[in-house]
This record gives sequence, C-alpha cells and structure tokens, in this order.
Amino acid sequence: MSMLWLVLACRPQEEIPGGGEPGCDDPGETEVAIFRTITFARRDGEGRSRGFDLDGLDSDASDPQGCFQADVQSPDGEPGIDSAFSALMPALDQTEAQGLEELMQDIINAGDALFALELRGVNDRQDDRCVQARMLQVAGPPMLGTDGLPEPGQTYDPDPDAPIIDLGQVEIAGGTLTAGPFDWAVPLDILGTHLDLLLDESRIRYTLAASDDQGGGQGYIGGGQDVAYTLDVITSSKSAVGEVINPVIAGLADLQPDASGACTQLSAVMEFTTTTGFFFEE
Amino acid sequence: MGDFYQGLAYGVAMVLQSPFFLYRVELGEDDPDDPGQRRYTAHELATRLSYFLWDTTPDDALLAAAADGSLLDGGLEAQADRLLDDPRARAGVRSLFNEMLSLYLLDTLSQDPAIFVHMGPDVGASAREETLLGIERLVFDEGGDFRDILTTRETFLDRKLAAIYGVQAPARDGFGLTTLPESGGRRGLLGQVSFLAINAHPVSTSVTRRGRFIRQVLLCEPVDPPAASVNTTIPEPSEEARTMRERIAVHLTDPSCAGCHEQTDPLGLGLENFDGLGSWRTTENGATIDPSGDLDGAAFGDAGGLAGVLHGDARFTRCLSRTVYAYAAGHGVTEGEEALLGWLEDGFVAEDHALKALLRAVALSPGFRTVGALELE
Repeated sequence: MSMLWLVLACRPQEEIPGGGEPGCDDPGETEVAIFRTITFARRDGEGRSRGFDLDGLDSDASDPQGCFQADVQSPDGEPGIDSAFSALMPALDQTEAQGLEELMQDIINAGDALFALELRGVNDRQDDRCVQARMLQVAGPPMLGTDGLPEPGQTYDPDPDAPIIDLGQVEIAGGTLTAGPFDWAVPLDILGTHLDLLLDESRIRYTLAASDDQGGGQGYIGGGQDVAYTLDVITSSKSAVGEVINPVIAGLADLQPDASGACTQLSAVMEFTTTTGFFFEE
Repeated sequence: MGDFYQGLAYGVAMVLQSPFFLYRVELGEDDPDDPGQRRYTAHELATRLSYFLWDTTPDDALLAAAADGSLLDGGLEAQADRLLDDPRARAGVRSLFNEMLSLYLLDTLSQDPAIFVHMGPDVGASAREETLLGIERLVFDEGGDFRDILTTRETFLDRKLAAIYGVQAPARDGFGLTTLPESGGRRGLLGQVSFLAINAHPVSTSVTRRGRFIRQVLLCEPVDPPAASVNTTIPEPSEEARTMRERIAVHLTDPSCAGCHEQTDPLGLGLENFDGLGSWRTTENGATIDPSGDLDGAAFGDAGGLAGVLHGDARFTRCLSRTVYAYAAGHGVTEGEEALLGWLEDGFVAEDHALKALLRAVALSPGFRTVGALELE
C-alpha cells in the first residue's frame, strides 16, 4: 500500500472556484450522473491515452516546455495529450499499488468520495448548446447493487460540507460534453488520515448514456498533480520505495515549468463511469 | 408425574394442541328465522366478523354484543360499521390483499442477483408495503373507485423501490407518496414490483405467469395448467428472436400450446417493458420491445393501456366482488350463491366501486351469516 502515497497529496479542503456563465431560458430536464467507478487512465497497446492537451503544446521529448516529456495521442488521434502518469501504470500494476483502485472503490462505496455531475436544462441529450453543469459530492453511503457498485437510480442529498464546482454553461455535441478548467479534489480518508487526491486545472469530458434508462455514461478528468505535494507525502510516509519513486515522479513531471525550467506538475487522467441518480427535493 | 412443572408442561401442550385453540370453530346453530338453515352463533359470528374486517380476534365491545345477543338481533350492521371505521380495519384489508395477490410470495423472492442489479433481501418487503400502502390509501383515506388501483400514478416508494423505478425518492427514510412520471408506462398494480417480480422467473420475465395472474386473479377466469407432455421450454434469445415476443411466438402458433397461451401471453407481453424484477426497459437484447396487444379484442398500446382496459372491464368488478366474498365466507363460491354475488356486484358498482362499501355489503350479506352453502333464489 505504500505506493499509494504516489498519488495522494495532503491539502486542506477549500472552496473551488468555478466559471459559470448565464443560463438559457428553456428549463429542459435535469440529469444527475453518479460516479460509480474512478480509475487511473492507462495507455493502450499503441501508447495512446485518453486525456486533454492541458498546456496547449504538442510536446516531444526534446521540448523544454514539457520538461522533455513527450505528449501522447488520444485513441481518437488527437495529439498533445498530457497523461504522464499513465506511463507509470504498467509498473504500478505490478506492485501493491494496484490495490489503490480497490481502495478508492471502497471509499466510493462507503459514500466518502461519491461525486455527481449534474446537468440542468437538457433538452437534447445528443446536441444541446445550452446546458448548465456542476460537479458536487453527494452524501453517502449509497445502496450497493449486486455488482458491488452504487446502485443505479438512487436519490441523494448533496454533501453540505463539500465544495460545489460550477462548470457553467456547457455544450453537448454528439452526446458528449467537455468542461473546465476546475480544480478537483477527491477526499480520501485512509487509516484515519484525510488526504486529497488533487488534479489542478482539470478538464472533464463526459459521454452521456445512450438512453435515459438506468444505463451508465462514462468519461474522464485530466489535470495536473502538484509534484512538490506528492513528493512530500511520499517522503513523510517513510515508504521504502520513496527513494526510488521520488526521482521517477519528478522525472515524469510535464506541466507548469518554473523559472528554473523544472516542471511542477505531473499530468494525470482519471477515468470514471456513471449511473443515473436524483437529488431529494430541498 | 410427581412434578408441578412437568404437569404444567403437559397442560400447556394440551392447550396448544386443542382444536379450539388451533381453529376458529364454526358449528353454528339452527336459525329460528329460517327453519332448515343453520346460522353462526353470536360468538362465531363475532369472531368471523372480526377476522374478516380486522384480521384479529374480536374486541370487548364485539364480544359484549355477542354475549348480550344484540349481534344476532339487528346489531350486526352497527358492529360492521364500527369495525370498518376503526384503524384496525386497515389490517383486515392488508390481509385480504396479501392473500388475493399472493404477496406472501415476496418473502421468498428469488430473482437472480447476477442478473438484477437491484435485487436484495429487502426488495420483497418493500414491494409488499408499496402495494398495501396504496390499497390502504385508496380504501380508507380516499374512499375512491377501487378500480383506480390499476391505473393510478400515485404510489408509495422508499429509496430502494425508487431506485428500481428510476424516479426521485419521495422520502429519505421509509415510504413517501409520490406521483410517477406521466411519460413512463408504469401505472398502478401492474407496474409494481410486487406483481411483476412474483409473476416472473428468477432469471427473466414470464409473459405466461403475468398473463395468467391477470386472467385468474383479476378477471377470475380459469387457465388450465400445461399438459404433462407439453414442452414448456422457451427458446433462448437468438439473432432472429431477440425479444420475448419473438421467442414465445411458438406458443401462439402451436395448436397444443395456443389454447391456453392465447389467453395469457398477449397480456403478459403488454408488460414486457418491465424486466423480471420490475425495472423499466425499452429494449431487450438490443431490440425494441413491442408491448402492444389486446384483451379479448380491446386493444392496448402498452402497460398503461392494458391497465386502462382492465379498469373499464366489468369482469374485474365482478371478480373482485367474488374474491372478497370468498375470502370472507372462507369457501369457494357455490352455485347457490351466484345470485348473491350478482347482488354484491351491483351494489359495488352503485357505490362507485368503493371497496369499503363492498366489505360492508359482504359482512351484512346472508352468506356471511349462514353456515354451509347458501341457497338463494
């Protein structure tokens, strides 16, 4: 479990700013997508990864702006994808760190990191230029389905203690929406210690389920992990692998170079699946 | 025996095995007003009335009415009204419909959790409560047309059932009253998990079971069981037959099957938008479900339409009158009671299908007071 500290960073919970715009007049429907699973993005056999071009650069290994970390392509062929952390996943999958995703699922199932993407004013689930979106945490614990994941169609209360991320007005095009940037924090309480899995300046891409039955949607969130925080956590954990991992983490950093040219953030992509949900009447 | 406690144990054992403890004894007595006919004694009638309307033993007032003779001397009507106005009458109605709708089967619901993600140990109890709360509300709080139990969009849901129905839960804890969306096809009893899951297979829907329930329980029409030699296996889904309608087509074309399945399957197919647990679906194995059909020539487009057709079908009214009477009488309807049944049905209709009025009429009917088969002109 010590590898877990690779991706965790301690930071106090704080209000996360949003970027909303005025909404549209047509009320439309409200859809609530509950995150059932959250996993780390991995690269496919051709080295491609889902994610975003977070820094606006299509860096290669010779580009100092990307700290000499080559960007990858998305499965759709989009260049410049920042998903450096995914390069570590084959190695992590061979260690005890593979338990991290199970641990994260346990935390989701316990209701401690249960997220919702709320879409208001949906008039067309395929193409709608005028949808108000926000991400929020919901209060758990959820009822679990026989598949061991939060049961579809449940009704929740928003978590009154968690920040609401206003994604503003977004467009659904071809059944998919993209929004951001925003700072996303997944709160994790592990062995009595509160930690936040942080992705700064994140983007989200979400594909709605094909129908509004209880089927699920899916998507991903990409952002930058603060390298200094990550290294601090690994060091403070006194992990035996820290001496080995810290240089790897620092070496993979690919975003936000400082004055000395050293990148201060490591790009990471989290994939998620959703199911339908509701909020109780206020 | 030589030991006080051993003697006490024998005494208690004797009490517990006594037929007077185990059974409601109904021997009756000669009816002084109708020579040759037997009526229940006052205490037997009190017990009968109390179990019919309250599902429990008579209270002191009813026993007193039996003891002083007033129950048999024109006091039955007042006692029936008193019992029906008492909150304990809700338990009586719950017991009636628990039996009529076989809701006790929800205790052993066995839908396969590998197939039905919502399945859990509490589903059966929640489903029964939804159905019974809705009936209670219609009978005692609304006093409305009981046929609306088939078509109403109002129902009581807890968080579990709301998740199965894919609607917002009306209450954080326990059950709350909610109105189901107009856009969906879920209406009334036939859209409830209780009916849908009981009358399904553990791994799939059953158009035959659901249709048979409608025929036998809601319309009181007999449906013969399949002959022992008939192969009742339904073909597995295939590229050519993805929906249940396509898979069971053989039932409706094979003469050895069609006789019965033509009675049941078209009705069950109208409910195919509900899976084996009761969740809504529009497709099956990727193919769009066609829930249209007809009930003996009355066409419907979907489950909601089927509920509407049944609501207007006089057979439902007749069947309900018959079922309530048989439940109260404790025996199947005899030929000699058909006239009484007709009278009860007419009264039920005249009272705008208010179930409370039917319960009252049954309790006051001669069939309820008379031992054995009733012979009426």
